[in-house]
Amino acid sequence: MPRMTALNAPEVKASGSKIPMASTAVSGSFNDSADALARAHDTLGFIAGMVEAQLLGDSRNASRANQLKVTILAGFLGSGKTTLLRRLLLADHGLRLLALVNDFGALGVDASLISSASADTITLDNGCVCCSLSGGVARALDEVLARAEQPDQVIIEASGVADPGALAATLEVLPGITVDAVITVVDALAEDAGPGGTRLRECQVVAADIILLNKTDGLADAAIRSRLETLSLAAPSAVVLATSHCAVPASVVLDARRADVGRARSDAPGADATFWTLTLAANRQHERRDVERCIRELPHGVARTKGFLRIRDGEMDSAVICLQAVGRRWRWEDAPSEDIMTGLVVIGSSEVLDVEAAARHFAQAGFDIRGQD
Amino acid sequence: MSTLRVFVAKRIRTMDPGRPVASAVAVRDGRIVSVGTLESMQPWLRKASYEVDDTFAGCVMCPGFIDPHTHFRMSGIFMGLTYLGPIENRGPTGTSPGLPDRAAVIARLVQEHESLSDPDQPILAWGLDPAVQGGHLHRDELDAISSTRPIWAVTYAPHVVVANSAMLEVIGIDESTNIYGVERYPDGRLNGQFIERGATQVATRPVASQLNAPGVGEQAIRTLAATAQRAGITTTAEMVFGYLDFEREWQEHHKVVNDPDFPLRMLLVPIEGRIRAEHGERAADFLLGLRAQNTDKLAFHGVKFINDGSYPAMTLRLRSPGYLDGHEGHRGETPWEELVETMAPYWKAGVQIHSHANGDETVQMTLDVLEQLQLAHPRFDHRFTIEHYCISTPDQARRLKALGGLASVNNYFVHYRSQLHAEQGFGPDRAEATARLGSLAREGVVFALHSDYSLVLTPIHPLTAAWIAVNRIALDGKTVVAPGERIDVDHAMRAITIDAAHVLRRDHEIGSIEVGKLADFTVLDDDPFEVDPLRLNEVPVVATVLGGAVFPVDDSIE
Repeated sequence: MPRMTALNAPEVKASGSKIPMASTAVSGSFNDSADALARAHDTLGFIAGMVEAQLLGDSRNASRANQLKVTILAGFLGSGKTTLLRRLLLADHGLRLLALVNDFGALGVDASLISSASADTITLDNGCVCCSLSGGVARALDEVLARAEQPDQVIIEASGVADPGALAATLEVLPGITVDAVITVVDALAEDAGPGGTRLRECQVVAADIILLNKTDGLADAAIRSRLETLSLAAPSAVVLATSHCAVPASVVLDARRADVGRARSDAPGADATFWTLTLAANRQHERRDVERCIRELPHGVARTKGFLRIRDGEMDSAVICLQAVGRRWRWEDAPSEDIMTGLVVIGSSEVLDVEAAARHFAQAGFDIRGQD
Repeated sequence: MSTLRVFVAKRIRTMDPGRPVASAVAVRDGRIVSVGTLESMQPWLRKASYEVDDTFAGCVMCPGFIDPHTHFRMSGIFMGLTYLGPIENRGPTGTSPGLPDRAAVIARLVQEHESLSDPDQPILAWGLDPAVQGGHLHRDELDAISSTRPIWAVTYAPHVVVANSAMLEVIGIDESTNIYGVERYPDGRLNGQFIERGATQVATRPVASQLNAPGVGEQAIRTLAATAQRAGITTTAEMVFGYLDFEREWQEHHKVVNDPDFPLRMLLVPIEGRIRAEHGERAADFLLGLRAQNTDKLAFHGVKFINDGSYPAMTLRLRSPGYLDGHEGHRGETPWEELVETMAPYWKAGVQIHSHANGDETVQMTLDVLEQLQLAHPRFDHRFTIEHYCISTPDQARRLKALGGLASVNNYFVHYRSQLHAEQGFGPDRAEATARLGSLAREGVVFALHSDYSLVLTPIHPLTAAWIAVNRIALDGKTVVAPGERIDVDHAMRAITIDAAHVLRRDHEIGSIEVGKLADFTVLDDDPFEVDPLRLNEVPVVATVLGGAVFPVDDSIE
């Protein structure tokens, strides 16, 4: 059965008769007209974005061996989104990141870490780059793709009122771009934002692969659990994690271009302790549908699953392909070669799920444990 | 010499302050020969053969309305989709009723299917709300409506797509697909639902192609122009020309607008970023060169800059204290620090600059840029126009006047969205004082009213814009927001006629009923200067006249 959103839809006044424009001003309800406009505007933006992205895509030769991975970072200002972005740019993850942001000022990167700066670009000592996003994300990405040197991953800071799902859908149309994850940061302490605010929040949560319920330090466990449940209902495929100061390892939030089969490196004090890593051996062939079911039925708390598997698909010959899953959302990608070592790395939150429970789930799908920490 | 045609009316409001009222206007070869009474124009009538046209004898005529800022092609491609939402929606072909439940949605699709004469034409629909309409639609249900006509429908956010079997074929997807988010029935068959974004993207690709197909752009222009004509409009300006593909858009407009049945004059204002990307330093020269192709009906004009986001999407830029929730808006493609340098070539070459600024921080920046341009290269009558001017301050109106600038204002939001944004986004001070026309009027800044149709999805209806300007009544039907920013009826009518012509540098040709000008008129059933100002928006439009050719308004469409 298709899922419904847990957050309520706006009140609807069913009006069957045609109302002439003039008297709508007097008899139309406040929410109806404003909502009708908001909906139409939203859909127009979605479709116009798809059309534009498609046109852009068509205008470039689009056979790229390596897709550029894009992370969309969403959430209202004040949720902790900017803290997360700043930490990702400065963390020791070995990745060359390019961030597209609305406003440098709000980012607050320490001047001593900046190696060069221009009006619309900041380059950090560690090689990460931050560009000002002055409208036109599709075009900004198009320009990134045209560069000789590609970043390992792009992070786009979506505006506080953006619909990240529509943005993600639009970007996916661009050849050469894969949306790795939509990450929505939610302020656990925020009150309801009133009419329209609910709609915005709904958009951001529903579209997310990873939801960080942030600022939970100081909240009672019961309060945290209840918020986590609401969020999980609204976004059943997503990984919902309770955090404070958005302390999650970079390897949970980002995806390295090279599928490293290693430890979840941490960059915030205490972050390590809350995430475990499970390394699985994959010494045989797996049926594609079996693997997909395994991921679709993952227990809550598994953040990322990635690696290379030898896959059989019905009648077709087996091949080694790359599995990438964020929460329960999986995708398949080409492997660089047939000879690459197979195996999976799973990262999960120890606060939500025991590593043993996770290991049991994968064992049932035919994966052997190689190691864990 | 061709015959003089003399239109007689109950009253003609000329918008010529020297000769404001008449009852007859003589037209020849698309231009006005004389305005006055049948008696006063005898010196002309004695010299030539003439015929009196009394079709509008009981009506009131005024100059053809001008909406100087629209986007027919870009938004028109979307407007053709079938609406399936639960709330009433105003579209270009009329108001669509809300469909409150599943049965109503299905009935509407059946109706659409039966009304299309081409059996292969797909139905593309939007606005579904599964929470209210009994869950998502699915393939078998849609196949029951038609097993041969492709049907595609998208929900309102989160943009889930549903398709029937015929559409699945168009999408190119079959039962063996391995894309995440393509849903199935319990028996394993595809159920037509594309729920996750990768899947949605695949399902939308053919629609995006369809919306880019030959003929679609042209139909978009025609459909929205027809809506504009029913609202009494005779001239409009496309304000983001060349956004997708300059050459292609030119071909489309050239074909559609030059058709004698097309009821509007159009000006095309190219978007600067694209022109500069194509032509670099030669951009201003390129624009000047385009003028060789201009006709009375279709002409290139000016250049457009976009420097912040939009009002309803709350992506405009505000000064302190900013948005209620602290978020910030967008700035547009050209960095603000580079604007003076970027605008200078156009400024010097005499290409009129239209600069989009929705928020007061952007208006402030724009005034600073205009001041820099004036200091470097002083100009008179440059007609630098701030477009939208939604959130501003009275002191900014003074500066705008001092610098010689104009404003083209989207004031529809005063009625449709000011109360919403008082609580969400801008806060009460700025939301209530949206579109400070009174301040502009006090300072003597010439301004026009526009709709941006249909990128921000407010209606296109100049008499409603005028009604809003005069009354400033919010959506609740009773609250007057920022009463000191109201203007009088005469000024509001100027803002949709002669002052709008001035903004487009066409006031020597249109905008008033005077000898020598193009014979563009709007025919109304009542006199906007005499009706109760609270009912200004209800004055019916009977017809428009373009260069002397009559275009009646089709009454069957609301």
